[in-house]
Amino acid sequence: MSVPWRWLIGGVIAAAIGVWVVALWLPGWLADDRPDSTSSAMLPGDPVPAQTRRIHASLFYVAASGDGLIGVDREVVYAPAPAAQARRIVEAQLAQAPEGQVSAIPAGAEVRSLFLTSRGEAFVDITAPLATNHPGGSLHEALTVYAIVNALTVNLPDITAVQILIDGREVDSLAGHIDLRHPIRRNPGIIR
Amino acid sequence: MRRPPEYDGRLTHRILIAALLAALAAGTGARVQDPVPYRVITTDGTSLLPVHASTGASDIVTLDAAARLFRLLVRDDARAGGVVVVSGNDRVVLTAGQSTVSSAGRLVSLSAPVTRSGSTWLVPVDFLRALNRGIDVRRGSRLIVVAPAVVPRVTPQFERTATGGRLLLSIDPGVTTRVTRDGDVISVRFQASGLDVEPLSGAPADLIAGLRSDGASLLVDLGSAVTNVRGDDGLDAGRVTIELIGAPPTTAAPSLTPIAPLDRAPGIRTIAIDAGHGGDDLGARGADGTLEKDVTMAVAQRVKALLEARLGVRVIFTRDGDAPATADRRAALANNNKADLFVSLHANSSPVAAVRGAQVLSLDAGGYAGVEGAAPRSDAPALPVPVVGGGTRLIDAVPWQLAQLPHVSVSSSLATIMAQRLSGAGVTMHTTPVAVAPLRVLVGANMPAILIELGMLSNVEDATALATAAHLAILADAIALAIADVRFGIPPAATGGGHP
Repeated sequence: MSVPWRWLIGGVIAAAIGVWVVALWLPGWLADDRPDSTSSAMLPGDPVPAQTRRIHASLFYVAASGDGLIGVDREVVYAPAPAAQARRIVEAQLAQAPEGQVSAIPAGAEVRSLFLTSRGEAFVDITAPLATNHPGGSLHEALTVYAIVNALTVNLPDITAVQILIDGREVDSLAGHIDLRHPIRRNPGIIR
Repeated sequence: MRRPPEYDGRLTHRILIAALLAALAAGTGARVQDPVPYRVITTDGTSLLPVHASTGASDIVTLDAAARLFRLLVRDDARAGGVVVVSGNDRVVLTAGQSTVSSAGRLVSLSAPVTRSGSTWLVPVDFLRALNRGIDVRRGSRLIVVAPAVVPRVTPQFERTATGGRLLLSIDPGVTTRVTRDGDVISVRFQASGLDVEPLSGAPADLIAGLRSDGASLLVDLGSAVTNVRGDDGLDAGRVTIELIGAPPTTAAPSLTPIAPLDRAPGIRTIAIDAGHGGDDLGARGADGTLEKDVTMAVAQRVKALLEARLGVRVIFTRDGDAPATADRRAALANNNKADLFVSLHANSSPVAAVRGAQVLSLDAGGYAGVEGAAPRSDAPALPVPVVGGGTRLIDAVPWQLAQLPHVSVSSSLATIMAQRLSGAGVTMHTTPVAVAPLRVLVGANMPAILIELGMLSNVEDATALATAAHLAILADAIALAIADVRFGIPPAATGGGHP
C-alpha cells in the first residue's frame, strides 16, 4: 500500500509544478507582455539606457504632401516574444510624433492588448479615443488605419493582416469610412 | 366728321369692358402659372403651405405663412439686419442675402438666399429643415412631412409574368401594410399618415385599370382580364407584391422573344443618394463650424432636384433628414429599392491643412482578399429559385455583405467619369482625383457605387467654398451631369484609382 501512495504524491507534485510553469509562461508566449515605464520609441541618436535593448523599426507619419504616409526609422524597445514586440511597435506608432513629423493618430489613443494568430493576423485592441477623437474624412481615416497596419506588417513580416478593435470590440470603422470588420493587409500604395 | 356725344360714350364704355376682360384674362393666366403649394402632413391632418415663387432649384415661401403653419415665433433683429425664428428651444437666425442660416450653433445651407420684400421675409422652403423638428421637405412630390407623421414613398412597378402580371410596391420607409380585395378594387392599407405615390407606367389596362391613393390607402382598379389575385400582407415592410392572374389565352400565343421576369430594361431608373453621416455623427468639421453632415445633405437635395427635373429618374435618400443611419441600412435601402447607382456624398479631412480638393473613390476589392466569400468560385453552384407559374430559375448567389465586389470595375469607371465632370466644372480636385479604399458604406451596395469627397473641410479655402450655396450648386450640377453621362450605361475606363 505504501508504494502506490508514494507514486500518487509524487505525481501530484509533478502535475502542480507543470501547471505552475504553464500558467506563468504561457500568456507570455501567446500574447504581449506588459509595457514598461520607458517610451517604446526613440529617435536614432537618443541616449539609450544601457540595459534597454532596442530594435530599428519603420514607423509611419503623414507625408508632406498630406495624401499618404512616409516611413521614418525609429528605435523601439525590444521584446523577445513576437506579440510583445508587435505591441511595442504599435505603442511607438501611437505615441507623439517626433519633431518635424505629423501623426495620423488622434490624441489619447493607447494600446489595450495585442494578440497574434497562427494565420499571421494581429488583433490590436486600442482605446476609444482612436475613434472618438478622430476628425473624420476618408483620407485621414485611411492614414490612421494604414499607419498602424503598415507599422506591424512592414516591421514584422510574419504578420500579414491586422484587425483593429476598439475597447475590445469589433467596429465597423473609426469614423464611417474604412471597413474594419476584417483584418486589413498592408497598403504599400499609400506610402510616398 | 364729328361723332355724336352718345357714340363717344358707348365707345369709352366698350374700351373699359375690353380692358377689364383683358385684365381678367391676364389674371387668370397668372393664376394658372402659380406654383403648386406644398401639402403639409402631420399626425393631426393635412394643410397647405402656399409657394410665393418657384425657381429652378428652390421654392420660396413667405416666413409669415411658415410661421403660422408651424407655430414659429418671428422677431426682427434690426442690428444684424436679419430675423430670429424661435421654434421650441431652438433659435434660427436668418440674414437677408445669405443662403446659410444659423441653427442651434450650426450652419445650415439653403438652396437659395433669404430675401426681404418690404416687410415680408422670403425663405426657401428647405429652411424648414433647419428647425430640428423632424420636418422632411419633398420638393418633387410637393410634400412636407412633420415627424412623427410617417408618409412612405411608394414606387409601383409592373412586371409581366407567364400568368399575367405582378405589381411591386417599394415602400420607403418600410411600414406595415394590409392587402384586401373588394370586387374589382385591391386596397393596400398602410400604417402611415399619408402616402407619397409615384406614377405607374407600363401596366396594361386589361390588368391594371388605375392606381390612386386615398389617405393612407392605395387603391388598385383591376382590369377586365384579371381572374384572380394573390397579395402578400407586407411580409417585408419595404415591399408588397400583388400577383395579377389573367384569363388563359384562347388562341395560341404568338412566337415572342421570351423576357425573363426579373430582367430590367437598360438605363438608369433609380438612383440612391447617400448623404454621409447624420444625427450625432457630425462627420468632419470645418474651422468655421461647417459640418460634413450638413454639406452632404445640402448637395444631396440639390442633386435630387436636378436629377428628377432633368432625367425624370427616381431618387431615393439613404437617410431620412438628419436621422442617423448605419452603413448596412444605407446599402440595404439602395438594394431593396433596386437602385441602379449608389452615390455616397462626403467631405474630407486631412492632417495637413494645405491639402485640398475633391476626390472620387470606389471600393478597393483587394482590401477584401482573404475575407470569406470574397474570392470568386467557379465551382460555386447557382441556386435554384422557384418562380411564379411553376419551375425554377438559377441565380448566382452574392454574399450580401460583399455585394459590391462584382461591380468594382464598373464603379471604378464611374468614379473616373465623375471626377472628370467635377474637374470640368472648375472644382478643385485632390492630387489623386480618383482612388480606391475598403469603404464600409460601399461594400454592401449591389450596384455601381462611388463615394465623392466634395472637398477638404480641413482646408480653409475648401471649407469656405463648401459653406456657400453657389459652390454647392456647382458640385450638384457636375454630379448630375456625370449621372446623365452614364444614364444608358457606364463605359469602361482605362484609368484606375490609387489609394487615398
